[in-house]
Amino acid sequence: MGISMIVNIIFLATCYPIMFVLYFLYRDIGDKNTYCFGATLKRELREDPAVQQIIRDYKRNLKRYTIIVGVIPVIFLLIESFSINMSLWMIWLLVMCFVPMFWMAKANIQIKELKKERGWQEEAMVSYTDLKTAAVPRRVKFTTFLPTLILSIIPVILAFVLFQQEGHILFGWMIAIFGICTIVFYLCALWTDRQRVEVICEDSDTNMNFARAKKQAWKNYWLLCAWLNTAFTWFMLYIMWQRNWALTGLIWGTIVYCVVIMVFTWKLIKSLFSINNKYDKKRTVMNEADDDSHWIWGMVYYNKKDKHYMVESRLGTGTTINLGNKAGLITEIIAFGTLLLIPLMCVWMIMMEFTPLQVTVENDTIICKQLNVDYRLPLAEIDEYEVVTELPKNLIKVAGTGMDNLLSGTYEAYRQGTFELFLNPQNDLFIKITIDDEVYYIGGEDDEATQDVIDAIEDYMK
Amino acid sequence: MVIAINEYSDIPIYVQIRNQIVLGISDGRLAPGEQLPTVRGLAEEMGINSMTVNKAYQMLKAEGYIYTDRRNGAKVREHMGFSHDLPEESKELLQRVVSEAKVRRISKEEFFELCATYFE
Repeated sequence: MGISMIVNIIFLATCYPIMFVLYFLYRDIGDKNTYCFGATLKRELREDPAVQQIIRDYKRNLKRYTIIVGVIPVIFLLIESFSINMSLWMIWLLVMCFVPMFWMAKANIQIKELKKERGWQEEAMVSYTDLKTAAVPRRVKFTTFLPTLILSIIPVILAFVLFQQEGHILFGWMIAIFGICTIVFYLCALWTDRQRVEVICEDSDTNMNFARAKKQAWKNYWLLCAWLNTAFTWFMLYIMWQRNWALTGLIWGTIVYCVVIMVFTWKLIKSLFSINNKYDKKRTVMNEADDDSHWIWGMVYYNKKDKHYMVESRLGTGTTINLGNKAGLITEIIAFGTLLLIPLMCVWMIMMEFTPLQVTVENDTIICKQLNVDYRLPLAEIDEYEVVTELPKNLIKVAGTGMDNLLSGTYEAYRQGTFELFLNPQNDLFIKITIDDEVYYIGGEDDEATQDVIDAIEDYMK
Repeated sequence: MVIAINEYSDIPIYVQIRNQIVLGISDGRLAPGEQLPTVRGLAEEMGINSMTVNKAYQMLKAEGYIYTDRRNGAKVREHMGFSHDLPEESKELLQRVVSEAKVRRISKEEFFELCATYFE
């Protein structure tokens, strides 16, 4: 099975189902308490035919769009190039998640215009705070997360100790990234716990129970994610140690991890919806804060006066970052910067796949060059060389690039040691070179180019 | 007890907080000895500067409605040692309200009836 097909399987199993989750999530996203597509609108005004038309248009567009987006990946199954396939999947993922926001923004603008036309705008900007809930704030206990935090740190320490002995500190860092995710989940739990408590009625106990129920659902979600991540960190340590099935383990482990996270997220959304529905009957205090001016397209919050880093989102469940807050602005810049890196990464991958491998002998030195990869092997320093037609079995990438037509960087074969690779595995001819106990496998763009290098080495050795 | 703050109002936010707490004490929604949120907790919850909440609490403390101690934060005073009289500022405010009622041709009976509603 080619790497391209593995990419298809991973994306189909982990990202494709997100499309259905997003469809059901986005479908009713415009209907939230006193907000219609993020614009403040009294509930009774929602029944107005003009508002209903905007809602219908949005739902129709979303349905059509989901069908089109759902069919597109069929084309990806026919593409054999790893980098093009990967790039298309990445773009598909971004498009799937972000394009519906265009219709949400459009609906938000339409609602705001309608409010202006009909004189539905409210002057008041009253915000409610319950003194009792503020006096007895519920805080996520550190001790609840302590076992997962400890159990996540142990494999990280073990990985550094074990892999450092083997000289593969990079594996240690890989495990550390997973371990750090548990800490991130704990921090997320703290963040969601510090969100402003929504006041739904005059009774403080009801407000407190409503807030508790929602915060409990969030806490359970982050705790489950933390435990799952802890288990995954241990699993990663195990498969890294048992190198012979590391790649298969990594693929299936990641698929299971993503699917379980999706199940947790789905359960959380369901639970939050059911809490909202249950307490909707008790809702007597309606939000009169018509601060639409602070909400760009109903989804981006910018309020310098509000000290909150995160506020409850006006669309669907969850929270959104306040761009008026310095830390919030920095977070958003980093997040969008990371998103912008994705297309750049795709271009780089395509360049890697389609730039030919250049192996030449110049000034008694073998020069292997491709984009940023540059090996220089002086012929005088070669201890041993051998022409081989097969590569070591079960190669695992330690650092570098692995594609159907390119293996470059440091690789390890189970119980055979590490090698520096620079070759196209689809060729039949490779050169194995040993310099100071370091083993290189190199090859040119095709067997002919490799043969030229072999001839040059043999001439020099004579 | 729920307090409502209008950010567009001409009345400063700290005065609005103070007024709402006094209203809560007077109508019994805030019981004597009831724990109030900490300055930081309330500021965090309302999304405003803690200096604003601190100003409101200082005002309430100076007026004798609440007391603070380092361990337990702020609480509603159990025995308000007020004299059987309104402060001068309140008297002036009342005078203004009475004048407004007169200008709007509200009779004495109607005015007292309104006062009785609020008093109860």
